[in-house]
Amino acid sequence: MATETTASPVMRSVDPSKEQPTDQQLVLRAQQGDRRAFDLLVLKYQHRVLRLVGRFVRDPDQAFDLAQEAFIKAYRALANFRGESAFYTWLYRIAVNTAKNQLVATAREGYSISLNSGGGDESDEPLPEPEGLRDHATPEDMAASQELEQEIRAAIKALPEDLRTALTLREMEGLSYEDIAVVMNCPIGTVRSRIFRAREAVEERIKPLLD
Amino acid sequence: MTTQHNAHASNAMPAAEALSAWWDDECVAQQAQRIDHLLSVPASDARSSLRCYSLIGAALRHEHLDQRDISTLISSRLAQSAEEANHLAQHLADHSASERVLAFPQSRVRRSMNAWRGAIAASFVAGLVGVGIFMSPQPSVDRSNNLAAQQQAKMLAPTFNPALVGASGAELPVVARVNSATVLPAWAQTPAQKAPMDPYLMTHFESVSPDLSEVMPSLRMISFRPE
Repeated sequence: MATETTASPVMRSVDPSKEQPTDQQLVLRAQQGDRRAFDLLVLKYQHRVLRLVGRFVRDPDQAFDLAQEAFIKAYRALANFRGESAFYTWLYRIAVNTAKNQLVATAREGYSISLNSGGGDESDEPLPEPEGLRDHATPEDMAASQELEQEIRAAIKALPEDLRTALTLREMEGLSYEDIAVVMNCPIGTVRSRIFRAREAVEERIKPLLD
Repeated sequence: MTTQHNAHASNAMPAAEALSAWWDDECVAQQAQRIDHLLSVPASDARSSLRCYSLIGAALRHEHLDQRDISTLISSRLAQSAEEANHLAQHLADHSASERVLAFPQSRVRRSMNAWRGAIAASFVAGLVGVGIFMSPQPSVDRSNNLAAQQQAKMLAPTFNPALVGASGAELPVVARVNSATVLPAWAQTPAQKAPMDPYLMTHFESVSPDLSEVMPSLRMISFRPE
């Protein structure tokens, strides 16, 4: 078992004056032209953005394209980001606007298609499927995804109680480490360690499925 | 012993543990460089760990498990656009300032005007010259001749002497003073010369009615001229 730090839940081991959100550092570096810093931001938020735009468009490929588009827009507008809000809040707005614009464009396109194909046109060409009914995933992909999900759930279930609780509070409830420390009555360092070990254990178990 | 163990743990753990904390926005600035180093390699374990963290969270929240990685696509797109921008900047730097200006699309009328620009300008200038000639004042009389004529007129003008006026106020004859020294120009001294004219034509001109006088002469002149 990994060693747990013994700091008080209310006291962080790092000097607050030196503590800065790492996103802000990355954004500053990206604004100065460091593309690798922006790459780290993409790595960190790509899945969140994918999930976000996935709520607007159900086609996974389209969501994938929209997420890319949102990041490209964010990169180009990065010079205008003044840090008044968190980076993800700003990125969230860009992604939502990108998805909404896509929805409007799709709706307009669908309207023109329905106008063109309507009015007693007896052509054999089938009408385009409504948005949301398309799913490009093959049955194999869907089966693999289900298997992966089951394996993750089984791995989480097999975790020790403290690790599972810390991970669940973080991932499902979205609590900060500080709040989890209060809930679990343990130091923040312990929370960080528990969450890490929980993830590490699950990762070990699902790695074969990912390769 | 415990201190040593903790120190060892803090050195051994943070790399992977910091990555987990970074994923949760709980990383501190001191660990940022370590994270940067960990994720700098495209196919590193750290990147695959992040992928697993994403899948674990999605499974717990009953979300769609998306395993695709867009970071490589985005970085390649950004690299490509940066390369294009550099290429464009290089291209612009190679050309002169005049060539940098992109030609604005012109209308057909504008293009035809450009083609005839020289002719239009020439005709405009010619028109201006013509109007200028037409509107210009008549050439002024030579000032020296004018002064001489004035002097001559002054000398020829009748003089009036108040002493000669009688008390009765009767009118006295005005005497023109002629300057004998005045020399008339040659053209004024010779008698007027009349261009010789065919007596037949003169007779004919006088006999023809006034209405036809402007039309008839040439015909008659040719027809009845003696051989």
